[in-house]
Amino acid sequence: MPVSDEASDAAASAHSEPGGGGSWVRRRPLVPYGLTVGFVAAAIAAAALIQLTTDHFLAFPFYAAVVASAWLGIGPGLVALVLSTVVVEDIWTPPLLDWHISLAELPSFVAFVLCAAMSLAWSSQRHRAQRALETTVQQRTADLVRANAALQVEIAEREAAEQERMQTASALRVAEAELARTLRLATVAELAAAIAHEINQPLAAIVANGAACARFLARQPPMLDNAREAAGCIVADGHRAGDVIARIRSLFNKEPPRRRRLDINEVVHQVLDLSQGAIDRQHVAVQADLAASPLFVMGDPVQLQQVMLNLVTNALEAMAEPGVRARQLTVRTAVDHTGAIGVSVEDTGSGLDPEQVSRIFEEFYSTKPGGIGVGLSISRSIVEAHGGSLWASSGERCGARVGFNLPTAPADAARPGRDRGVIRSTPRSDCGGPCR
Amino acid sequence: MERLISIVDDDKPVRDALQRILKSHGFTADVFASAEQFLNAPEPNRASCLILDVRMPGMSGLALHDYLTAEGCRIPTILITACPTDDELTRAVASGVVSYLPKPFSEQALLDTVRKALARGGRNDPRGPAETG
Repeated sequence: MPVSDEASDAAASAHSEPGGGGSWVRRRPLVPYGLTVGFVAAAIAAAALIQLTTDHFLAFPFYAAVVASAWLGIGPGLVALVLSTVVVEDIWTPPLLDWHISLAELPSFVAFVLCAAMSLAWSSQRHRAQRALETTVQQRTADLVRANAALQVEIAEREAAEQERMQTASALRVAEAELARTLRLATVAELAAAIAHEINQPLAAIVANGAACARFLARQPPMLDNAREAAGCIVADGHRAGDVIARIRSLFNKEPPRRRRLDINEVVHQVLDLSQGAIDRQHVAVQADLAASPLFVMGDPVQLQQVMLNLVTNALEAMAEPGVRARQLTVRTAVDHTGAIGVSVEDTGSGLDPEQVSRIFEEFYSTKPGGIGVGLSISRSIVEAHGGSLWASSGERCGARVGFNLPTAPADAARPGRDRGVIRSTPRSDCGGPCR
Repeated sequence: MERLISIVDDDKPVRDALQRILKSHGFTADVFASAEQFLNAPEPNRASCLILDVRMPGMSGLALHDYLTAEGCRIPTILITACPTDDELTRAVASGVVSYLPKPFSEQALLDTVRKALARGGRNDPRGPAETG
């Protein structure tokens, strides 16, 4: 049996989409015709059943058979039309098995053939449109799949690039921190070597002169002039060692302090801004309980910033240790009952034990691994030069609390001053802090 | 013949103090402010022992020792330093000095080292095993 164009189209379409619903049509071209015969047979059965029950002939089962067959292709549709026409003419148009059509039956027969032909045309048209739509949808779907795959590749590439960038940034941060630490250590090591050299020279002379002096005195009779000369050298070398220390101290105090009236809350804000990067990186929550009104002190803004930065940095480093879960930095400013201005920085790190609290302001004492122990001692000398005091205690719940008090600026304190204030060498004994 | 000890140190109080203590023990010592001054002296190689400061302007004590050794002038040498480092100690030992003494050192340490240097000078074996102070 020849295969119709429609069936060929279906076959070609099925060929282009392996696994699609029409593949069996291509593999078995006779199946549609077999189905067509089946449809018509079913229509005959249905019409016979209807006639038996209602005593009327209804042509609709045959239209349905034509429509269904046309869905399989124009060829099966035509076959169904012809078969239906033959069956209706021969069986339902009396006399039976006679090709003659009476004049009275002719209109209804013609109407049947026309309706069946229109059903065929409509079904074919629908089928063609459906196929065209399916093809378009398949093409669009294929396009979408391709575009999606390309997009996935691009997303993966971007993610990889982003991850690489993050890794680079992270490595860079580590390298920066390491470099800063190395430079700091190198500077300190160099400084320590220079100090050792400068101090050991007079010490060597003092030891040698002391020994010589003792020997001159032990002689019989004592060589008093030589002993006196050696003793004089010891005194001179002692002074020389003292001068070395004074020179080293002067290195750190080159600039006379510049004092102006400033709001300590501003200093706190500036330092928190400066530390924002580290705060974000460590996911630290910041709570700033600052006095609502400005707290004016007389001070060097840079030096006070340095003190504040040191306290905040210490707090952040204390919370950088592994095992610290809730990282919270609490900064408070307030006026205490004596009228002094208090600033405190509290962390939720591992805290300080009493021995650490008592030693924390000593030079070269550090609780941090790799710390050099100069930050707080420099902070303390700055605060004391401002007439204030630095203190430390344990935090309210955990961690450490470090802060300082400064005298309130007098109301007429617009003029710059150079006095270094009262130097208090001991930290506050109550360690309670001013900012409850 | 009197045994002469030459002291080379750029720090005047130190070299004078060393000269004073050595003289109080009966040694003869002369002093120089730099390696160059020592080399320009009339007879630098008549010393039986050298006490050289390591860190000096111009030629260092270790460089002077190496220079003298290369010139075939093997005088037992004691290096003294106000700023000792492990690296320098290693190089000093490798150069065959008698001792590497960090300042400040005790009278006894100085005397022991000087006597050892003078004894080694008698054996004429400057490449022997070095000791550190």
